[in-house]
Amino acid sequence: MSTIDGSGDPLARLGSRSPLSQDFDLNLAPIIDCFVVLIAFVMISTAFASIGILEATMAAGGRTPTGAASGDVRLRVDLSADGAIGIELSGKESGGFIVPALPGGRRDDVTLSRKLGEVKKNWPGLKQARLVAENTVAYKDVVSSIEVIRRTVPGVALDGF
Amino acid sequence: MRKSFVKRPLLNTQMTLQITSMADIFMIILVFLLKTYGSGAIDVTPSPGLIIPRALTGSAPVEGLKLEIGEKTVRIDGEIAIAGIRDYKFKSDDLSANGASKALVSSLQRKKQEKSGSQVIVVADQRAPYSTIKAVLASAAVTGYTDFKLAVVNPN
Repeated sequence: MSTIDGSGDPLARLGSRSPLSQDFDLNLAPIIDCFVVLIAFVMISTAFASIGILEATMAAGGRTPTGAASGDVRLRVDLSADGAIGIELSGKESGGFIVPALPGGRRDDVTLSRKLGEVKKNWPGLKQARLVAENTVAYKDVVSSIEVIRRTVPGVALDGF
Repeated sequence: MRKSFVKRPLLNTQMTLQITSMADIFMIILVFLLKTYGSGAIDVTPSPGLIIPRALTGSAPVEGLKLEIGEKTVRIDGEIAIAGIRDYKFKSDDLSANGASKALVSSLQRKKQEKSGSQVIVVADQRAPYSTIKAVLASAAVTGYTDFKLAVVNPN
């Protein structure tokens, strides 16, 4: 039991202190209860995921359409359903190579990044790439490839419409 | 040993708990949680079961029309626009020659009258096929939404 002076002695109530004494203990227990409930609620309802934005344009009809206006060369990256990635260059340099899928059908993003780095080294003015995927390719793979391409080439336009 | 006849005062078993410090800790935790509540670049509340792909981003916060692509529904700003899709795929008779979904185009046109702007935030499930993404993007482009942003979960 709390007392006026906090000593725990009930007789203190009847002691020498004046009934108008300003010395009292604030009852914090209900406030603590409220905090516990609030913290539990916030922790349960909070999704600690940070949603970010990945920039992508449409190769045809987008805000900044890509096409022939990509400088000296045009880069196209093809995602196939079996996990292979095709890289095709056109314009002043023509050619292409295929990054085969890893065991289990996983995409070899490391090799893709390395190959794109080689292209960028030869053509530093390359600013945009077109990304084409087969219809059955999962959105996860498309996003993953956009992320890899953007490390080398800042602009990625979705194509295949 | 000599026994003392002086009566010892009884030990006071009643004590007051010092909970001021505990209240301080709770207050700090509460402020921290409230501060980190919804700290993402955009305010997105995905539907249950929707898995957003992960990718590193560094873009600034944006606002725009939210197009959510789930397994069975396509939502516009949280409201169901199309409920008749199966396994993330539109019905073949719903797709027009340019690849856009007729039902989604009409829903987007209605939305366009309410909310202007050309920015679309695509919140799609990571298992959705590229054909569905293309159909949604084509529908948005036909309606005048041409600035696309893909919502992803930042691993950091």
